Amino acid sequence: MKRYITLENIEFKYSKTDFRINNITLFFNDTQTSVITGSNGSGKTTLAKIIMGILKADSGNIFIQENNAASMSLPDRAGQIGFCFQNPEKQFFSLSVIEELAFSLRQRGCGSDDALSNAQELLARFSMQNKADEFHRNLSGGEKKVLSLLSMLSLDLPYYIMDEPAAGLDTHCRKEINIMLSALKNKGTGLCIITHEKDSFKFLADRFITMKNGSILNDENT
Amino acid sequence: MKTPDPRCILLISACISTLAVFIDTVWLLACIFIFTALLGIVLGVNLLSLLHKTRKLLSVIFFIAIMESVFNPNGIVIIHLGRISLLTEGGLLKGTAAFLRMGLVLVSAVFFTLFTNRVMIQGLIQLRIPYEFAFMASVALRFLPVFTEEFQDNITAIQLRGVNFNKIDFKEKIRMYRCVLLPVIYGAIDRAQKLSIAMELRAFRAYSNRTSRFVLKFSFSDYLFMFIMILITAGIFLFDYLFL
Amino acid sequence: MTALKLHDICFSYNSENKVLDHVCMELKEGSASAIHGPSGAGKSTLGMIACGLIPKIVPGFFTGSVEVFSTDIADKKIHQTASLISMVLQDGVNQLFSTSVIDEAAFAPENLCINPKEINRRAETVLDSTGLAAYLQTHPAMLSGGQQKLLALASILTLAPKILILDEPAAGVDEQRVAFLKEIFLKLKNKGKTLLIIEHSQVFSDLCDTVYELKNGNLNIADNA
Repeated sequence: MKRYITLENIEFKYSKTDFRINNITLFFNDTQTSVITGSNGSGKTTLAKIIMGILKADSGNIFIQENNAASMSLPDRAGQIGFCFQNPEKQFFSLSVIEELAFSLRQRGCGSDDALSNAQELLARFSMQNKADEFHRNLSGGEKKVLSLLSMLSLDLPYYIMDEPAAGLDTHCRKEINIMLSALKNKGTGLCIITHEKDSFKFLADRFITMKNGSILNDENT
Repeated sequence: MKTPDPRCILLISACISTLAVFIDTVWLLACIFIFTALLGIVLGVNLLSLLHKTRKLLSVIFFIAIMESVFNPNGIVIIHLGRISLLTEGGLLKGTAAFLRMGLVLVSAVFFTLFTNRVMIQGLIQLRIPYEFAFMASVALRFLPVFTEEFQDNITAIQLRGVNFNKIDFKEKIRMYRCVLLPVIYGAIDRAQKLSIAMELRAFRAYSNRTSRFVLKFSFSDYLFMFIMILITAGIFLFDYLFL
Repeated sequence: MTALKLHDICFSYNSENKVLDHVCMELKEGSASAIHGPSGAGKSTLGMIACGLIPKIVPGFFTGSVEVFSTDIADKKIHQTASLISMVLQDGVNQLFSTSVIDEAAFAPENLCINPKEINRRAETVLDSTGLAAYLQTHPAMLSGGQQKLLALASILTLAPKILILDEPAAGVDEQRVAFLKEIFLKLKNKGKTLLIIEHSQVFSDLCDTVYELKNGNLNIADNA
């Protein structure tokens, strides 16, 4: 087990609100599943966005593996860490569901035809095969969530940060997603799951991190 | 100070923009610019935020000055490189004039931020602009920030799939920019359809005119303000015609 | 008196799957009814047919007739019938286009050419009853999802249509606000408005006179009603 992401003395403040991240020092290991919990506004999502470079920390250092992330652009970081937004709409940029998935598969090196057939298979697993040509805005909330997770997981990256991956999913989809997450974990993929419902990821978690008001309240291995 | 009527501001903007277009003398333009800026401050317009937003535009205007100097040298050469003049008096004056003109148009446009969208529309409607047009324009303005945000979100989303815009070849770049743009356009059309349904369901266009929850009324100070503004504009034009 | 009469409605979005198959429905003036059914059964579609969105704006294969207060609405524009029959759509945010809550609520009565004093009275009363009175000058985009849904409802309520169709009014709205909604619907019913509530969970069935069940394109009166 190696350190994958290292945060040193991260400070951050939003310009428009009073909310801030207070001097967080934290590391994530490469094959571990960490679950970050905390109530709304505790800074979970902000912290994840700082790691990805979507938000820029006011001070402190981030290392991804041994590299200082300050010299890494967003796509550089995205090649090492997959990030799934809480709001699935933010993940999409294609005109159809199938294109959204095929994009990731091609990005990973699949040929065009393979990408399309693999994408169809994935959709079928979530009973969404008849939605392949829809525009994402016409999907239900749960379907959007599934699509956003699938499109990121298809990239097959060594580490994933997922913001509320189970929110809005029905029982069937939740079960399928859980199976996928377990498979990833068994494969040695590192996971960092951000959630406000601690119990739903107990089966997966190696470590629970609790945040409150922009600080780490608790950090324990299970 | 009481905020003037939006129609009053429309007239002021029209006067200032007209002056900006037709006056050629740099020092006179500068005077008008100072006057407009002062007027803005008195009315309570946030000019600082304009400066903040248009910083990049300022450099474009300096670029115009240099270009004018290099390709259309005129007057005393201030900086030169061998035989090529880099900055001439004429170029500097032209650049400054272009700067002031654009500045005037921008500042007078920012005057409209004194009002909410709805008040501005009411001003237009009371100027007998058909209300359908006025509302459509306001809906477009209302959703402009939404589209900008969607555009930025798309760029982030694509980067999150590991695409580096700086490291891909031209053909791929075109494909990526299509990915950034198309969903925003598609989304805009989709939203427009939904909004037009929502408006129809609330009886929009049921009658050839519509009332409003408030009606704008000119006050005496508005009339006075407009009268003075027209006088000043006419005065400047007369001065320019007679003496310059 | 019959407020709304759907006669022998057949509809499909494409030529293959029939969404509605010879559906008939009659709503009495001043009655409240609910349509239940699994998601995708065509409940919203039925609502959109009743207020004329289908086939006038949303295309598809449509046969049958819709009568509002004994007048066929086929030749009428939607904005002409809106003050008789209107609909609050499911998705809150896509129905909002103004830059403040009060402007949003005032939009409909402004279209009806009512005088300014009455417009303000209506808008303020309705916003008060929907719990939005504290947000008059707020930009609708700054409201929470539940508040946006309430605002979408409020801005149709100021139109005061005689028949009101509500598509999933409780979806995405917290419990406290659902209680608000029940109160509002009951008041509307007591005022003689005709209500048609589309929902997949039975939140509002207790205030309805008739509960319909839409399944496989067929509309039937539910047994438990």
